[in-house]
Amino acid sequence: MSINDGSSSGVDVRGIEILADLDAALQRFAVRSADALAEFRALYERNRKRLEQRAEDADREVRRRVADLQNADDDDIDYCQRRLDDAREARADIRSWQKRVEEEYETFRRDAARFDATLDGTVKEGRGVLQSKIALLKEYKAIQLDAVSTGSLSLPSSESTASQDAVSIDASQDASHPSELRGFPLPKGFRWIPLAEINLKEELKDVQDAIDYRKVDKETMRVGMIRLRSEILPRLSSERESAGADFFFEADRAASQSYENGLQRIYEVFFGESHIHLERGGTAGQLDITNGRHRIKLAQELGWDAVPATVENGRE
Amino acid sequence: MSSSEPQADLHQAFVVLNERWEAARSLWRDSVALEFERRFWSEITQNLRSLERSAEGLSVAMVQALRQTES
Repeated sequence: MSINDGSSSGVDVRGIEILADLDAALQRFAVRSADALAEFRALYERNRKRLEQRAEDADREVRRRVADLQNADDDDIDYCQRRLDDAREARADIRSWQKRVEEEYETFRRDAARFDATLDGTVKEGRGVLQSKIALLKEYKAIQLDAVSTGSLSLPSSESTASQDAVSIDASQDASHPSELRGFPLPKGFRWIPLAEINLKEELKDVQDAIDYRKVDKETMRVGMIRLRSEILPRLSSERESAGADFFFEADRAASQSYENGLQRIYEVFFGESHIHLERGGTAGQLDITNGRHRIKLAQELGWDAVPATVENGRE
Repeated sequence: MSSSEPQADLHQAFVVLNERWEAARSLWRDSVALEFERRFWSEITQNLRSLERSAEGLSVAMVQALRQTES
């Protein structure tokens, strides 16, 4: 059983539950760790106060022994001096232990602050990545189920899988919903541009391998495109005018998603300043790509028949 | 290790998480998994280990201090 990245054909779509378990475990870990840290800090505070109380008692004992010594008869001076020395020694011991505990606490405090930041940032971001991966796998699974219902794909043979929920798809056949895709409304100024209208052969000749994806890695971009279709475009339909960057900012915040792993970033990639931009007037009347070659290449690989873009007719 | 109850809770929380991670990692081998391990899992485990070490140091110091200063 494996959880592949979909970059190969013949993708096993399994382990959604395993990743969901890991995501839930991360969440529980964050809560339990925060509770444990709070309890440990409270424990330290109680012990610190107990030590402080002992130090104050020791101070009082020294003052008492000083007074005894001052009021002592000649016969008692040696005895009172020894008692005072003992009291001072006991006080010094306590102060020394207090210092040792404070030094240990200082190390703990730094590590705890770093760990708090890990819980607050790293764990949340990690969960965002997991959730994106889960969304990706669910998307594949939905594609597979849809494809099975239309007879375009078959379930794997029993010898290819040890699990009943295991399914296999060919990622190159992610062309299951091209017509649905173009049914989604787009923000003002954008249109669904059929890939057939773009000069793909010439424009994509330098985008062949994963290594060609320099600004954003291929997997991240792939997940982003699938989330565009499964999470953003449906909301553009349902929310109409209100579904802009601010809308997805709020959605991310409500879902505790960072910008890096959230929907706002994906929305801005497709409908912000760096959106896919095409220009008419190229080879044989086809559209040239001014911006968005990698997204268009991935759209092609995912089987999309169109991309959301703006078109300039400058060279006509 | 785990000289105090909160430390034991913290450790146990990680044991459970680590089991889930091991289960996922044995199956999840793509570039996202590697990135997840590099960017998130390593930091979580490293920072947790540091925290456990310093919590243990503090815990031992507190126990000794209270024992040695008992009147």
